[in-house]
Amino acid sequence: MDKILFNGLSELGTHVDRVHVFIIAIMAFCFIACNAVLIYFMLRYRRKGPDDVTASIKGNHLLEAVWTIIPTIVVLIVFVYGVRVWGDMRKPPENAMTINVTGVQWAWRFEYPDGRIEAEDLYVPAGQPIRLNMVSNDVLHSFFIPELRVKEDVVPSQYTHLWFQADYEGVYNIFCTEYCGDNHSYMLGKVHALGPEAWDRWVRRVPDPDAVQLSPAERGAKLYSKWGCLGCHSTDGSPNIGPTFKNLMGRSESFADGSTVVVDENYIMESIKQPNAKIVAGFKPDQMPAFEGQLSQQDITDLIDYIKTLNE
Amino acid sequence: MSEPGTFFHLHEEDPVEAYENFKLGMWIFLATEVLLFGGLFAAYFIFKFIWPTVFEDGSSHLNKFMGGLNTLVLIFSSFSMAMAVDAAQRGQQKKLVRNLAITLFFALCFIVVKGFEWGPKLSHGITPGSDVFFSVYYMTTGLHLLHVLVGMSFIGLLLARALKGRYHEENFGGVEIGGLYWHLVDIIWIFLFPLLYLI
Amino acid sequence: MSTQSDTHYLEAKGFYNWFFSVDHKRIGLMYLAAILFFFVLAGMAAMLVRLELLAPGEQFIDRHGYNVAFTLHGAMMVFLFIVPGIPATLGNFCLPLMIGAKDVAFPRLNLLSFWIYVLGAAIVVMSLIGPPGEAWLDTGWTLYTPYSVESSSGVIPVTLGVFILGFSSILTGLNFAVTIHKMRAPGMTWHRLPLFVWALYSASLIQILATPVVGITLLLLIMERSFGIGFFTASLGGDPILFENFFWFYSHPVVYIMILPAMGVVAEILPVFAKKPIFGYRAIAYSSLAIALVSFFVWGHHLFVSGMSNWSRWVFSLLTFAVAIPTAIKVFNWISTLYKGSIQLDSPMLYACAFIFLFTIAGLTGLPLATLATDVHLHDTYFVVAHFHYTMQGGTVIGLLAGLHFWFPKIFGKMYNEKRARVGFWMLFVGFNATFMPQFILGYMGMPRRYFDYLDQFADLHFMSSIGGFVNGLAYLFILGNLIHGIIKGTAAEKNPHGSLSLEWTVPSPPPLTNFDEIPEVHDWTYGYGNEQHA
Repeated sequence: MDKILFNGLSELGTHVDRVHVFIIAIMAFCFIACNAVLIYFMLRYRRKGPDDVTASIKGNHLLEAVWTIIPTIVVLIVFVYGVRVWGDMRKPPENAMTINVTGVQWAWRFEYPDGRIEAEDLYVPAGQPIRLNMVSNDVLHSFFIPELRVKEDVVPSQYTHLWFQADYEGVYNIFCTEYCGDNHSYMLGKVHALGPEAWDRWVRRVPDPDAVQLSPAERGAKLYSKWGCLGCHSTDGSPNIGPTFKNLMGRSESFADGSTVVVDENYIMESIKQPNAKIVAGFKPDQMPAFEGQLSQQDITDLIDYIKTLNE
Repeated sequence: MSEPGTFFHLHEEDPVEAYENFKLGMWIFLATEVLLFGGLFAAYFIFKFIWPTVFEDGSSHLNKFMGGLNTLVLIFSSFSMAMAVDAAQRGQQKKLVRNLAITLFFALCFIVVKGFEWGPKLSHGITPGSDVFFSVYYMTTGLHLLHVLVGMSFIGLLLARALKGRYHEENFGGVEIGGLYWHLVDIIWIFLFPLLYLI
Repeated sequence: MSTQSDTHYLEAKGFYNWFFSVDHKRIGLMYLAAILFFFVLAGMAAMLVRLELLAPGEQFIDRHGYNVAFTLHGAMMVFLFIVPGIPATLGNFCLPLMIGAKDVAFPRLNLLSFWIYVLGAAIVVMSLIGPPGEAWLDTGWTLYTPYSVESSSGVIPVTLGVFILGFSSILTGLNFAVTIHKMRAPGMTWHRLPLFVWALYSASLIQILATPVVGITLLLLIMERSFGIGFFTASLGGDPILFENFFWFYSHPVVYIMILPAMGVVAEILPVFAKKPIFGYRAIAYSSLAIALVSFFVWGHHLFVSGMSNWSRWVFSLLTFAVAIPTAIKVFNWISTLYKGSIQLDSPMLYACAFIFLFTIAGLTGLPLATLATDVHLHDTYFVVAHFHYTMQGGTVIGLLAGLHFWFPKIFGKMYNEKRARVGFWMLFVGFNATFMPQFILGYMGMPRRYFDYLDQFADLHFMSSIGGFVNGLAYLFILGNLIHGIIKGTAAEKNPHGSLSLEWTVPSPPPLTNFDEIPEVHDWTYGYGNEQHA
């Protein structure tokens, strides 16, 4: 059996395991200390006869203060340590490669920036940070790679994210951990972390002629012209009836009421489905039809991927 | 065959104690009602934050006149209910019966107006499943309507008992507690009306 | 009309005298029979789950059957057994006796809440096992949307049943709160109240304040399925995660409805069997209230990986840690109560000490689940399963058994066989730990919960857990058998066999119908044990 903790497969996982071990040490210490005293008292003060003398102690303020303050400090330390490591888990590195993940009952589907689609098997280059942009087509799922210590629910109509980096070549399990129906326990997959050569080979693998297809961004570009987005949203930075798509992703937009938002996948999805939900300062409401129900989740993801390519 | 301790053979209770228990019980019950609606109010604010324009749009479809009319109707009914409680405390039989009847009448008016409001909407295809605003609208006003119906049966019971002369200076707890419940129904509407119709 | 103190409450026979009884003791006993019935039923579902998981692959039931089995187990255990659990049974029986009252504040309402319970339970059970034309419920007891909106099984009737059960819970809580406020005997001040009463009071507050929220949530789910409203449906602008928020706003505090009364039972037993005053009375009493209060602000830790904003995740993590402190205080106080005592390890005391032992495990394993970095890995794995079984079985069920053995002579006027009670206790203790200890390791290894089948690497630990589970199940049959034997054939019990100072032990066993011929006057707190001579 492999080592349960400190498998050394990823740097982040090692950080997480350090928190695990830290907490396990605290748990073990408290458990042993409390129960050693408990069992000692049970044996030491066992009733010898009906005339045993027992103390009339009703409490001790100093002692009670001490055992209120010490646990408070301990849990605060655990909390801060946990938040710090978790902060790294939530911030993907700049150079992360984004792969779109769709959860359906009962399989995982992965789509790469170049349009390659894989079901159940996720191929990634070892040593490269990977950011997953995930959405569900039906019910709740949850994407879990136990060996790399990452997990995030996959929700319909909302993008959720996680990132990981497998430092070494290897094959790791993917589990669905949010109950999703009959085949929940068979919604499995594998992460294949490939070495440079194997990755190269996999990328260059001549696609099956029947499987040749457009990349998500290319499909998004087609949708962009098909639905007439270009009428109002330029791609060269010039403002039109609507804000330009150039450098849109990650831009900080401010609204009429003074609030601001950093544009991400979920913001673009909302703006496509319900354009009037938030109006960027300087633009008029009611100019764009709501595409709620018009575009599929796949279409929206493609459009977003196209918009991402317009960043310089 | 029935022995002491069964439903109809309750040991005797001190009436003053029973009245105080009853009143505290009602206040606690009102707290649970507030939380019941609290969930819906929370949903209202969350969805309004996410979909401000859907809410603006939906709100504009509501009939402000009828909503306002119902608000007035409920305020008057609350007033007559307060008068009824006062009459019960003073042991004024006729005034009690009259005010309870007025309250019941206003409650009925509320339901009729609500019927005129919902009817055309439903026939025009504006249903609870239209969008998230109307989900909230039908859910909150529907649940409130259910409370009006419960309140009406409560008041009806009080009226029947008042006609038999059950309430007097020393026994008015029932009316008072019925009043508490009816005021709550009224207050919930006073929150619902501006949130749904005006804002 | 008035009763003589020589007729006790158990003497009345016949359906009418029980099912229409407003006496809190009879109602408590009827509740006890009902919840134990559902406990056995839900336990059988658990045995089925463990049978299936003996080895990888399909063993005895298919995947759908497995999903139904764990749903049955969870839904019945939570809604029909553990939520009414201690308050409606031991609470109903003891509360008026302990505060020196003849009954609860609203005896008829008490009976009504039992009827509502029976009605709700009947609907839940009938629809769980499938009304004609509908499949057995397979959504898990959590009923998460959108699966519960799409599932073809009988979600609506089950939800309706649980909604009805909520009223029963609210009415019991309301009744207890008013009783504790208004019905205390003269001299029974708040700071003289037995700690079990404090615990019931805190649990009542949660029942009153949290249950309406799940009520509205379930109502919305019913509307969603029947009228297509869009609160939780993404295509209508709703939010499936909102259901999770609403659901846990109730269901997390509910954990404390389950555990607080069990903590109260333990606080009653320890001083009696150690002949010592309880250590830090006020700290224990107020920490119950503190736990009740904080429990309303920690529901978010069930959503740490649900796509909630980062900001709310760390706030909820911090708030969750806040629960650890009053809990730790209680454990320290209980253990200190034993110091320099005269400890008699009878079965109630064995259960009470086991409660402390198991509860330290339950509480401490909450730490890695409250910590963000480690919860990501452990979330929805067997670690969570083991953690909450340590709280609910190791905590609440052990607490219920402690209380049942403790008050058994008072309730039935008979004694059970003590030797067999101890044998049963050790069977349960070993079986329980053998079931759930391996599951902590499974969790660290990444075994997800609610899995019908699993990879070979998990097989050994699952096998161990299943074997432990069967011992666990057998232990319950043995323990319940011993108690039933005690009811039928036990020797007559004295008025106060354990030497307790609490008011319920001042009346005959079993108590007369009206409890006290004369309302007692209280002059001292309940825990005046200890005979050391002060200098």
